[in-house]
Amino acid sequence: MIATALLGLVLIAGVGLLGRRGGGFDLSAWTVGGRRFGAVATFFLQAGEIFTTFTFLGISGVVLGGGVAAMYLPSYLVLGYVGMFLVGPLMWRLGKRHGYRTNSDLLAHRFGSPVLGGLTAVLAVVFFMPVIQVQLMGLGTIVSFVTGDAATGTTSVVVATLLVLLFVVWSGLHGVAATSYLKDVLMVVALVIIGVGVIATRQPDGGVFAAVHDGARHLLTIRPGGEYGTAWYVSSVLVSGIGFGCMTLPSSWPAVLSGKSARAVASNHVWLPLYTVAVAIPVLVGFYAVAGGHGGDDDSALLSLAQESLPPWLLAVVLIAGAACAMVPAAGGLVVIATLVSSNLVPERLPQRERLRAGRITAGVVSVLVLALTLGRPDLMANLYLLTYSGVIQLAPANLLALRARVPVRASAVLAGLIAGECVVLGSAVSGVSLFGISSGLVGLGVNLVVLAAVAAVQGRVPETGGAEPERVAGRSGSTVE
Amino acid sequence: MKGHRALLLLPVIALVSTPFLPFVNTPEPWFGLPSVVVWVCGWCVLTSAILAFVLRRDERAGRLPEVDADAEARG
Repeated sequence: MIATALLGLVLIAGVGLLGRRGGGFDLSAWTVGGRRFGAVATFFLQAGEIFTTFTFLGISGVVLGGGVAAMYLPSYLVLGYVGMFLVGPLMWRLGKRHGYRTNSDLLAHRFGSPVLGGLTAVLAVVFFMPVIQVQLMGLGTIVSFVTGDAATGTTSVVVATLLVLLFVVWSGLHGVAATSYLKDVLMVVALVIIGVGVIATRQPDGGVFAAVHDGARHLLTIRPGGEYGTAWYVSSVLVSGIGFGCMTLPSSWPAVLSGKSARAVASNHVWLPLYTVAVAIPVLVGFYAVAGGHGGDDDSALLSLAQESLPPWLLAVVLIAGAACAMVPAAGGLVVIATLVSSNLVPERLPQRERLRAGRITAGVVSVLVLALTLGRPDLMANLYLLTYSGVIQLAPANLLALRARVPVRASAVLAGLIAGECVVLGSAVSGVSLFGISSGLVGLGVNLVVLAAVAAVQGRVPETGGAEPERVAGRSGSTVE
Repeated sequence: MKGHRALLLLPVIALVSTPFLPFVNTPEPWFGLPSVVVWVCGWCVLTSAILAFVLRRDERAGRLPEVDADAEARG
């Protein structure tokens, strides 16, 4: 099984390396695929960022504690896809016209404020780096569990990080897209294998849900209060759905900007909700774990049932699929952070070639940093990961205002709202204070909007010749059409 | 929002209000499965159908040309 794990990691990296095609490879090709991807490629890029080790491991664990509340995941994804169906084509058009590569490019350009662009880039990097680490930790969990050897799990994390860095530096977004195809096929196959295997071998008398109904009836409904109660469910769906739908997650940008047309971007989001039904499989497997009296480590519920139900060769397929679910989103995250740094946080005068080099160096530095934290301080990033959606959703008002034909408020109003919203999120995390169990991201968004509206009202109308006119004011890297 | 695009509010309302709908948030199963699971999966399928309908209407209205006008103008 150890050899299988290693083979799986090398296979995924090999596909990533082969993803680079053609001779010319500039910054645009590395970061947004040269804006030439069709609907199929953008579909898998989008799905690749969403179906991660959390879908593979975490969601069954949520069922053990919250039962059907675990369906918050497909619920927020659907909300996000509806939002991106509307917002994505508009962002693509602006991105194509002005050469955007990141959310920071959009905000710096539309609000005429490099400060807003820089802050957006910093927030995106800080809140998104934990996403990479969580994938690597998930990979370690999968390999450790299946091989039964913790040291192999740690070794696999180191090897996977190096291989991901290798194909990201070589192929950029092309490599991520190529591995996304493989990963999603493997993931669906693995989920079906696990689902069929568990149902065939672990059916309790009278059916699994009769057993759950008798022994853990409360897990079949979303309860009014408690850890996974109504307030948690609704606010989680709203925070994650709004954040995702308004393209505040930095990982949404390459998938949208790499599309070859606005139509490719829109049609991509038509079929993603249907694909989301696959999330029901780990949820249902989670109920089999409940019926079987599964306890202990929540995140290993799905793997534990798979190990008890499947022959070793099928378990090997699950292992490789799990590794792909970790490596591909981690690779996407590296490209995203490297793009943010090379586009928005390096000196403006650097030529494109130097920016590409800066992006590749950033990918290396972030890989080493994340690996060191994964091995040394796993709790630090895991805690920050809980704030990812709450933190990035604070960019939603700015993103929506930036889509208006004429930006109606000044950058300072957006900055004031953004800072106020982030203070609420961080203050809630530090103090542990929660408003009736509602996500701090949603409370922060409310404060953000109030502050933004108040500052905008005090400042009055934005002059017609203000800094927000899109055709004349160039952002840091938004001055040319690629 | 154009009339046909208002349809996109349906899945949003349905999914956010899941815990408040007594006929959905019940321990009694639908088709042998937890009712909330069936409800959410049903809306996943319906949302794709609604988005496909809206996309088709948008295309007929010329809102989403296959070739971007800017790119075409540049040749």
